[in-house]
Amino acid sequence: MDQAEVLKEKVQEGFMVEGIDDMNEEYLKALKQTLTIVGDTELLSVPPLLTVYDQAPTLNNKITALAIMQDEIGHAHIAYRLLKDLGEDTDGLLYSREPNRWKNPYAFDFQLSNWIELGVFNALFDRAGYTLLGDAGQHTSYGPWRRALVKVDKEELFHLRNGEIIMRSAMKDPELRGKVQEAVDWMFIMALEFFGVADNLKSRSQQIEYKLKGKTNDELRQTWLSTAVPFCESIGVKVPAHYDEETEKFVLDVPFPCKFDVENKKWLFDQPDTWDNVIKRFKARGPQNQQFVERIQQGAKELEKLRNEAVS
Amino acid sequence: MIEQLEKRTTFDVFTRIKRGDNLVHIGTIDAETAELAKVYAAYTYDEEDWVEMCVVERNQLNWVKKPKGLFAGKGA
Repeated sequence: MDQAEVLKEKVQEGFMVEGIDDMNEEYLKALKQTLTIVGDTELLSVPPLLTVYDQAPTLNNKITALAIMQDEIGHAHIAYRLLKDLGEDTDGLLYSREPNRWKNPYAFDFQLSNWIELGVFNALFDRAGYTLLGDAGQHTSYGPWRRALVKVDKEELFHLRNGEIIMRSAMKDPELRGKVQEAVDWMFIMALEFFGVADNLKSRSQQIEYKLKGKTNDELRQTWLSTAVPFCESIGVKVPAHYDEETEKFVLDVPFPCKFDVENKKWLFDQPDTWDNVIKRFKARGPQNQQFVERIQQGAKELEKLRNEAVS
Repeated sequence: MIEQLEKRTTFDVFTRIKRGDNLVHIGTIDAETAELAKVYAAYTYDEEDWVEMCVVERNQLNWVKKPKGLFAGKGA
């Protein structure tokens, strides 16, 4: 048996990978890709949250929002420190990488329009993070990551509960109800895209074969739907999905994937799309991609400039 | 890239949640000095109200035993 077969068989039997000596090149590459996506996602969740945090209705809300952003930076730190231990140049990744090379979800390349959207961001997007990382925490074969995810799991649950509180209280206010629905209308489908290409379009997944994660994209989408849909319905928010008794699955009432009107943040349900086009849209990045990445890199670049000036 | 960063070393962070618990490795911190490592660790790992937390510079750890690599010397 070659290394790939040996390792795949062992991790499926429960073997925990602890260091580079336990990996083949393929595993190391898949692990680094996964951790880069995770680190970038955690870190780039902060700039969109920052666009509206000063609209917090109370000081308590503001403190909570800041605590959530601090958590996200802590989670990013975990992914990057694991990458550093795997030999990656994390300073280069953070401060020298072009904005369009970052791997955060497309949904994070948008400015938020109001405080309610911050709540929906927490309730739907953090729920996607909680679903994805909860699965990794339970199943991943990489020991250092599994241990680190204990902290992440606790904190992401707190974020999504915060989002639920904001949504629930806004739904009781006649002036804000409409805003919750408007936010969910574009963010619900965005959250579904977090989980990636449909299973039937993927011939094989190294992430699953090497047990970096446990469930498939579609299974994780179902997990997310199984809590997001009942929650939204319970507070009177309409969502384009329902539970189908016959198949015992959640099904979408709109074409998915479909085209998105970036300017108006609206899904064009009369224009179904392919996953190939969605991936193209992801790669082209969203409207604030450059600005948000520059925001992250700004301090380090300014400090470097000052140092250079002081030396010369 | 930044001169200061080159002087940083890695510290491993260990914590105990409450009396009687095991002291557990929870992560790492890169810092210029042990004093800064303590501050960074306290801010970064604040998910519990630890009864005990310490940082150890990684090159100060003396390994008696390590897991034998599955592909020792032949893998990635």
